[in-house]
Amino acid sequence: MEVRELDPQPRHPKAFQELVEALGESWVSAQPIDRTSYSFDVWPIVAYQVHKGQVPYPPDLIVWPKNEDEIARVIDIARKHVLPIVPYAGGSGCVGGIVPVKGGITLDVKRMDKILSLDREALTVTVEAGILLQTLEDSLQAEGYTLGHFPQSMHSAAVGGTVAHNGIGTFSTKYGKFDDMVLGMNVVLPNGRIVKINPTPKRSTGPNLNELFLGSEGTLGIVSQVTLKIHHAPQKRIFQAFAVPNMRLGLDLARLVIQHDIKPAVVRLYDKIEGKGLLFETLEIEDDVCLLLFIYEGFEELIDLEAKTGKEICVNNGGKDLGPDPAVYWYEKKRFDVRHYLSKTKGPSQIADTLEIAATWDKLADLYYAVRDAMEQYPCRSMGHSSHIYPQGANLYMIFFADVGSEEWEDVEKVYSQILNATFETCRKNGGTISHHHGIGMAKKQWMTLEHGSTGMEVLRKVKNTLDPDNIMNPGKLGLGE
Amino acid sequence: MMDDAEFNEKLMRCTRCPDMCACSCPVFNIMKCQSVTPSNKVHVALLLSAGEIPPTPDAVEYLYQCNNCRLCTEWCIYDDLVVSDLLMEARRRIVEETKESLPEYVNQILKKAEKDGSPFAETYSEATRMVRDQLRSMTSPVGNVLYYEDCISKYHQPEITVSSLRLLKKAGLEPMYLPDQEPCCGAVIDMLGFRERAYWAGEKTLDFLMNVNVERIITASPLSAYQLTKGFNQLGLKHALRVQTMVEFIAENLVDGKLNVQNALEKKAVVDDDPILVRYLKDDGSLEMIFQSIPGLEVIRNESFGLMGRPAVSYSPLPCSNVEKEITLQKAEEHIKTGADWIITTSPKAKMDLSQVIPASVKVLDIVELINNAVD
Repeated sequence: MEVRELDPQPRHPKAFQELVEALGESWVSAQPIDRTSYSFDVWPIVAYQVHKGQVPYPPDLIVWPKNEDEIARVIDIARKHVLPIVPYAGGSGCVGGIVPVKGGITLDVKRMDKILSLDREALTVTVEAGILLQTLEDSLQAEGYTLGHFPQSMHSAAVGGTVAHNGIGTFSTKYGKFDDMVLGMNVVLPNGRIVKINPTPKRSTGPNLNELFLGSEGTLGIVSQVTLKIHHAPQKRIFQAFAVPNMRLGLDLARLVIQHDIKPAVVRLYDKIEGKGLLFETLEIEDDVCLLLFIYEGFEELIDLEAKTGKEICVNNGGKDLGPDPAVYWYEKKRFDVRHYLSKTKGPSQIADTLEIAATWDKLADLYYAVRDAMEQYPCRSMGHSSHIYPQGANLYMIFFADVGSEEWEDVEKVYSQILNATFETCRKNGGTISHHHGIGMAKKQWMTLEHGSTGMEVLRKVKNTLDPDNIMNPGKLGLGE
Repeated sequence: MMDDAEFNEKLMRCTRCPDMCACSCPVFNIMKCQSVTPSNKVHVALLLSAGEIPPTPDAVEYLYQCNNCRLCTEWCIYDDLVVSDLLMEARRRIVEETKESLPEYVNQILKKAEKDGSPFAETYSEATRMVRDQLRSMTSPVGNVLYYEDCISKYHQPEITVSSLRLLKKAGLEPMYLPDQEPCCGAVIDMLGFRERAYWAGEKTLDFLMNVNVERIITASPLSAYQLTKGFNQLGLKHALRVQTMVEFIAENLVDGKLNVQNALEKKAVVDDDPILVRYLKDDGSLEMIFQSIPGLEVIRNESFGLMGRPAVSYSPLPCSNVEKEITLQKAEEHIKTGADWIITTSPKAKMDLSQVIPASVKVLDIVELINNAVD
């Protein structure tokens, strides 16, 4: 469908009227432009179509509730009129998680953007789901704290969406993944009732309900409130960079550092190709090397020792010390810069994407080389980096730029799908996961069985069917049925 | 003016970015609608430019959902792209091509500007009239320096003009002050997209400035200073007159010793950074220098980005009047939270907007009033 074909009259006038009565006229829309704006995220398949004037999956209605009660009223109306609900927070995801594949109501939580409490003793903050990550971080920093969550999308992403896809930020090696940060949350279920998970540092009370909703991508309910860990803002930051001859050695150095219980905030290992495009051209570093960056931050005396020990490990095991500049440059200029990716896809025959996989250390280097080989069976250039490090393994952020040689959308989409298939098949053969932090959405749903096996998928489907028997919550995502 | 190729290429490039500046947009932060993120407003401009959607008033209204603060440039991944400029260019094209598509309120502002000589014109109150009569007696009918009184000061904030003229005289100038003869500089109608009419307004203003034969113009309004320089330049109106904001004038004269700070001001003050001064005219540190020159004054400067950097002021009258007011209210709350005794504004519009929502316990002062207190 083209944007111009969208009817300005609401498709479900009775539901529209009831929503207006429940939320007020200003907070319900059936406007064609709003329907277009809420039809896509950063997933290349939908974003590219929308940019060409197409709207593959517009929602019928958009609503902005202001609290949990209003969310429950929207759910009631949706159930009555058998309309799907797509929860929407920042809309910055890159797997089509918020794409209203079945139309219906898109429920934007951004009016729910308050900081409800800041506990300076427990070091926690409780927020509504619609607060943008940057706004939250600004507010915390003004009080001398940090969340420690700095994804590249933090200027447009919101807390609710970060819970929904179980995301991660670039400073994860010190501050943890988002699932490490969440202590408790409120979720409005598909029956309109609210589950309230009490924030505690640990519990032994059966399966962890936080984990049930983290990464559920709006298929099990709508996250309305979240309690998160926070930290004192760092006193000091130390930057380091090392050149290494290949990814295998680079991964080894990162492993040695983390396995000595040293926790840099940032660890980034760029391969020769991505590093060259991102950093080398500006920094005049010899370009036939991989680049390993570390940023340490925290209390001065502690990080001084960590950085000193980490540096010794790198230099003593084959890393060449480049001084702080490349890491400073990344921190100041590149950590939010997406031009590197955007500039490579200019024509309609081109498509690019980033696939973030992960594995344990024993498999990781082999997986990197195998995925690059798998991608390059097709007309594309591949590259990658590793940026989230754990004692037992790490992620690989694999990037491809394909030039299909045809401007026909079907041809572009076919090659795109073939590259994803080759990547994920290779990933599973080598013991990796198909998604480390972007989520599944529409982009990867067909490979969910590859990840979980048929029995695992059966468990997930039973949970979904129990909580949402009418399948109104974000249908068509996570491979849990259309 | 951008040619079609440059305009469309920039629109396309902006829409390809995953909204990296969304958090900074005051309009988006009030409206909460994804269609008014900077990148999505540009997407509407792209759809209109490509003829993918018809220019209905509903669609065109999205091009006006911008308060021209340029805060989005703080997070923009591109060096050569300014969303508010792209939206302004898109508005100009709509105005030129299909005037009947404009939202009603846009035409109303234009009518007011043309009928009353200013988009902010009001009937003078008796108090304002008395102040202005007093001011005339302080100023010179001839000379080579003109104090250009913006329309907000003229109709709503005459005390800014009083303080400005006092400072000019203290620095040894004998400024001309001709408020009844000054034409409207055209900044607001230019921002609304009425390029041709803004040109006429600019031409009239330039004729006036040439006729009074001055070499230098000083104004308390960053917006007027911008329009008289860069705005006129973009409209093709060239001149060699020197235009200074009061902030630049004060800083220059503090350095030269023509203005001397004599009074310590034992107060806590929070500064409301004006977007035109900071991001359009790119204040080079004059503000910082002025604040540092005042003993006893504890100054809180907000960050230039993120939540704290959002402006209190909107330079484009926004379609939903409550959005403009909400932007000011949000900023006012942030200022009050700092516990400051004074809020220091750096533009007459910011003082006017904030004064309407700030409680009496906190004083809103323009920077010229602050300095006037310090140099007495």
